[in-house]
Amino acid sequence: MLQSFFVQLVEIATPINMLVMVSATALGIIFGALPGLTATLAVALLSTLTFGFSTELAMVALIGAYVGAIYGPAHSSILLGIPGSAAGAATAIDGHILAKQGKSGQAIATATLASVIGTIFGIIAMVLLSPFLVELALNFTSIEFFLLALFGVLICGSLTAPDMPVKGWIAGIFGLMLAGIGIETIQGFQRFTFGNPNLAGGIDVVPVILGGFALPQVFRVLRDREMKQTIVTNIGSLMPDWLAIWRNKFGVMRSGAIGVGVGVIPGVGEDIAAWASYDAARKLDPKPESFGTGNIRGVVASETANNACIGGAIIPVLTLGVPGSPPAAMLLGALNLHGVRPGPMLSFEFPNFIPQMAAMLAWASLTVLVLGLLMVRISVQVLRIPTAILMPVVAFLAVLGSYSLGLNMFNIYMMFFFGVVVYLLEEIGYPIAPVVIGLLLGNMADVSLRRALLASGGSVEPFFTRPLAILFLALIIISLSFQSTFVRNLFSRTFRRRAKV
Amino acid sequence: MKAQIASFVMAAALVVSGAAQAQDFPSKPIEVSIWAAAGGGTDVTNRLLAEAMQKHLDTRINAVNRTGGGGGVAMTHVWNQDHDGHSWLGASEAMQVVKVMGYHDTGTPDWRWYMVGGWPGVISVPENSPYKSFQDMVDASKENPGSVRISHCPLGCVWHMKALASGQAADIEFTYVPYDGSAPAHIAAMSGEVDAVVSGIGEQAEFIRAGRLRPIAMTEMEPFDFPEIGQIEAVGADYPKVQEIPTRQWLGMAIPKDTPEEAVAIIDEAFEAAIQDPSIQEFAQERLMVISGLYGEEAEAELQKMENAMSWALFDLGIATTSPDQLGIAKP
Repeated sequence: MLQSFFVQLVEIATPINMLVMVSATALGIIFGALPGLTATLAVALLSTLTFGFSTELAMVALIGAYVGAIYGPAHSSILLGIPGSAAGAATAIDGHILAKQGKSGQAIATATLASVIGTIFGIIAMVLLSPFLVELALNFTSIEFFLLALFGVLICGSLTAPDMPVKGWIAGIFGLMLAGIGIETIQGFQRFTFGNPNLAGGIDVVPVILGGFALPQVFRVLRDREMKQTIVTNIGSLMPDWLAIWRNKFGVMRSGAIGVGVGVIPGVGEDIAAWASYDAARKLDPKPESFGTGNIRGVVASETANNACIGGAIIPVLTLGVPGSPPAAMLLGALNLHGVRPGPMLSFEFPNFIPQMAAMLAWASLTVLVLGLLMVRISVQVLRIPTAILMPVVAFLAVLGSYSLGLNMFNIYMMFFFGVVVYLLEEIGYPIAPVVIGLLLGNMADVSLRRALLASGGSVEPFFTRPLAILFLALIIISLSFQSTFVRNLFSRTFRRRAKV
Repeated sequence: MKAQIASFVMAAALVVSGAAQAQDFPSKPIEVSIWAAAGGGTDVTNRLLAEAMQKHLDTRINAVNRTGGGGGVAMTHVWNQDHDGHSWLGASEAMQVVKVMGYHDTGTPDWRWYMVGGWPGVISVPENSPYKSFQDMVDASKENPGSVRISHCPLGCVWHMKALASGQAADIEFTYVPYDGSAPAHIAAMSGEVDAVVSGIGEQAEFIRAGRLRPIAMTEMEPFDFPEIGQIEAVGADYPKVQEIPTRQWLGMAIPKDTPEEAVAIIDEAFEAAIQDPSIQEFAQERLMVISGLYGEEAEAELQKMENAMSWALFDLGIATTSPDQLGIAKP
């Protein structure tokens, strides 16, 4: 596999492939950076556009766009505090504060580097570990999906303003309740739709993100006179913070591993990878309270993980025919369109296909590195735009982004509704991030739990007898007990005592 | 590559010049609005059909995916265009439930259907399963009702109907577990979360070839010859009641029924020729699809039966909330 990967690395580097790769990656970055235009949309759009291309050229374009679009949100998250998609929302927490502190250039450059490192993790997983990871994915039954979602929801508690973790939980439960809206898929029952057909499909996460992250900013600028004048003119160094990444090398590896692992699990994507990695980085950091106040490690954790997720998500696409994330689902569609039938037979019928995809990922990550660092120079200029111009543009992008998703007016109303609701919530100290997590994971938790019980005939026994389920239960208990100051103090005291001895 | 660029330029030129042609039909490029996402069976079939049909029609056929609303988005778009034969719907068996589900106001009698073909359904078990035949599953269910769990695509989808039909035919109770699509349903069977999966033979083919899934029985009346594996028996051989829910998976396209006769005649002719096209035949063979080629009255008669059966089944299951009676859908 490894040898074949290096052969492919050279073989696909034809001028036409590289040209398509660079343009597709640039398109992906722009799609990712613009709020509401997601990686899924970029890959979907290109898969129909490249219908007439050869399979290889089409895949070059799609992989480029995919990697670019997962990296792209870093720009808007850091500069404007508005994530281009859910995958970039975790980056916004620390990234935007860094920008306000005048370190936007370095933050974006570091995010670029982290993305590239993350993608490389994905490539390593694809080339070396894919047979093993497929077996892991097959061990994921509804029980594990439920426990994973539950674990994700528990992240909410720590993604809060440090003064009151309880507010994070309340916001998370609000998100979970939002996820309950719509036709549930086990019995087809309409919940909380009030007979409104627009609500039958559930609440989309994109209008919530755009409304929740963008509109409150606009409101606050309108409200505060001083904010109208403050323009961040200092953009700082444009080089990545190599030292921060080097000092944090174990953290980066952990983020990469989380990204690949989350990616491999069918149906769980880049967004969850970023949040899970951000949470792990925060919990294991010597100074967890510095997260949320402009810690570069927060940016590195989420950007490494969401890009590492790509390689992970492609593995089940190629070997099981099941996408690991929504953009990977589009990739699967494109493969079918070109007559490639992914599945367990792929590695027999086309032994070079997986190394070839990995080689494309490698070129895509190099393209992101070059284009990303070049683009920093241009995109930081956004901060020089006066608020009086920038804020209307932000509001416009939020409207456009909500509409572009399914071309549905209802999503624009939703965006405004959540803009107002989140503004009020934030004024009284509730964070938006847990709402997003709750909404992302609520449906998965709900459906997986009921499906698991349906399959086990109502017995909860498999929750305690399956090895992976026990692992997740243990993680949940550890994570929960770390929320309590008592346990944390106990832990750090024993730790310190040992260190002294 | 050059040819591709050339074809793109040609397409663009056709779009511009299309309106200038004197002939009545086709007087401009035709657009197929495919209700499903790019890459799925409905999409690939319609794209191949479009390429095969445009050889026989004097115009370009463009395929566009208009997803969402259970097919309602694409149907609304096509219905709102002029009914002059230039706007087609990329359709599948999902169109037979849009009326009862409230996704669109039109039903089977409002369209003219063109069926390319479809997959027969198959019940498969993971490789290490104790079940060797459908009879084994029936016996296990008789002994312990509900102990055999079967995964399928979302509630009310064609494979859910097929699973129900098989269970009802043998007068036994399976536990039906819905997933978001056939792909996760396959995984559920392979990971041992459920005992068996029902889906299209073409969807399962790669897993069957790799030995991950073992086919037990077709959910149809006829057995199926699987290349390399051999014949798969049909549930209908022992339990002919399986045909009482007359559903089948199909892929193809549709136009509004009130399209002018001259245009319909031209489309009919092109469709008949396209079905014989080697690209369609090859695709069908490779994906284990059974070619149908039915259109017009014959297709409508079959699909009407299907609409009736599926609508009432969905209503009885409580998934559809409006009674098919109120919508003028006859009880089968």
